[in-house]
Amino acid sequence: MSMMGEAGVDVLLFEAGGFRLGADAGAVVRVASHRPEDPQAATFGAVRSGGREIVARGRGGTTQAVSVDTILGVRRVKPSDLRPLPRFLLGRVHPAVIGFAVLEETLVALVELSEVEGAEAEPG
Amino acid sequence: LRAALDRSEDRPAAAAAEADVEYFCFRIHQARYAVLSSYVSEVIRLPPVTALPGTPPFLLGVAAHRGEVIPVVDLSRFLGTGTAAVTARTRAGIARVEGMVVLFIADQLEGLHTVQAGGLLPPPLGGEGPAEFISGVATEARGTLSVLDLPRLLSTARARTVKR
Repeated sequence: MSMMGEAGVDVLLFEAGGFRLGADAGAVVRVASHRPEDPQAATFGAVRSGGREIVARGRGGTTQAVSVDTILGVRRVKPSDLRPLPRFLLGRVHPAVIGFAVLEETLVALVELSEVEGAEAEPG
Repeated sequence: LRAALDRSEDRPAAAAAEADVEYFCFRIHQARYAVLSSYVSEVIRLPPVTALPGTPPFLLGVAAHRGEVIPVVDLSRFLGTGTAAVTARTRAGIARVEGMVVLFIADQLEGLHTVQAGGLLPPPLGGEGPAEFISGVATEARGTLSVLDLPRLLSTARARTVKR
C-alpha cells in the first residue's frame, strides 16, 4: 500500500469472481472498459458480468490489467483497521491476497493486483 | 531411595491418567464429536464471513471477532460428511491450537461434557474421513462420542489449504 499515512490508505474496492476485494488505489493507473478485442486480462476466478478492468502499476514500470465485475469506489482505511494474514493462512491463500481491511465489522481481502495469476505485464 | 523416587514419579502420571477429562462436544450429521475443552476459548454467533479466492470448500473464508481476523472452517465439509447449514443463528467455536486460531462450525454445538476416568477407548484402526482424526471413543447413553485430535486436524486442514 503506497499511500499509507497517519490518515490511512486509499483502497479501491471492487468485486471480481464473486469476491469483494480491495487494492491500493495509489497503484491504479486507470479503470477502463474491457473490449473483446483487448488482450485477456487476469482474473480472480470466473468473472460474472465483467466488462471492466483495473490497470495497475506492476514491477519495473510495467502495467497490468485485471478483469473485474464491478467497481465499488474508493475508501480511506485507517491503519488501525488494517490486518495481516492470520497464521493459519500464511502461504496458503491466493498469492495476491496480502491482508485485510475491517470495514463496518466485515472484512475485505486486500490484494496486490500485480500478483494476480495470469496478469500480463505491458510496458508502462 | 531410588525405588522411592521411581514410585513418586509414577504417582502424578497415574493420577493424570485416571482423571476425568472435559471435552467440547458437537454434532455432525447425527454423529457426536468432541475436542479437548482447553482448545476452545469461546463460542460465538458466526460473524459475517468474507470468502477468499483460491481456497478449498471447507475453508469458508475469514471473519472478524474483536478485531481479530479468524479463518472459518466447516468441519462437516473438511471431514467429508456433508455441509453445515449456515444461517444467521449459526454459532461457532473459537479454537486456539499451537498458535493458530480458527472458527469452526458444525451442525450443532452441544457444549462442555466430562468423560469419566477410563471412559475413553482407543479409536478403531484405519479408516478415512473422520476416522483419520479420531484419537479416542467413549460409549455413553447419548451415543458414541468420538474425540478428535484437533491439532492434527487443523494441521492437516492447513496443509490442504493449498494456494492456487
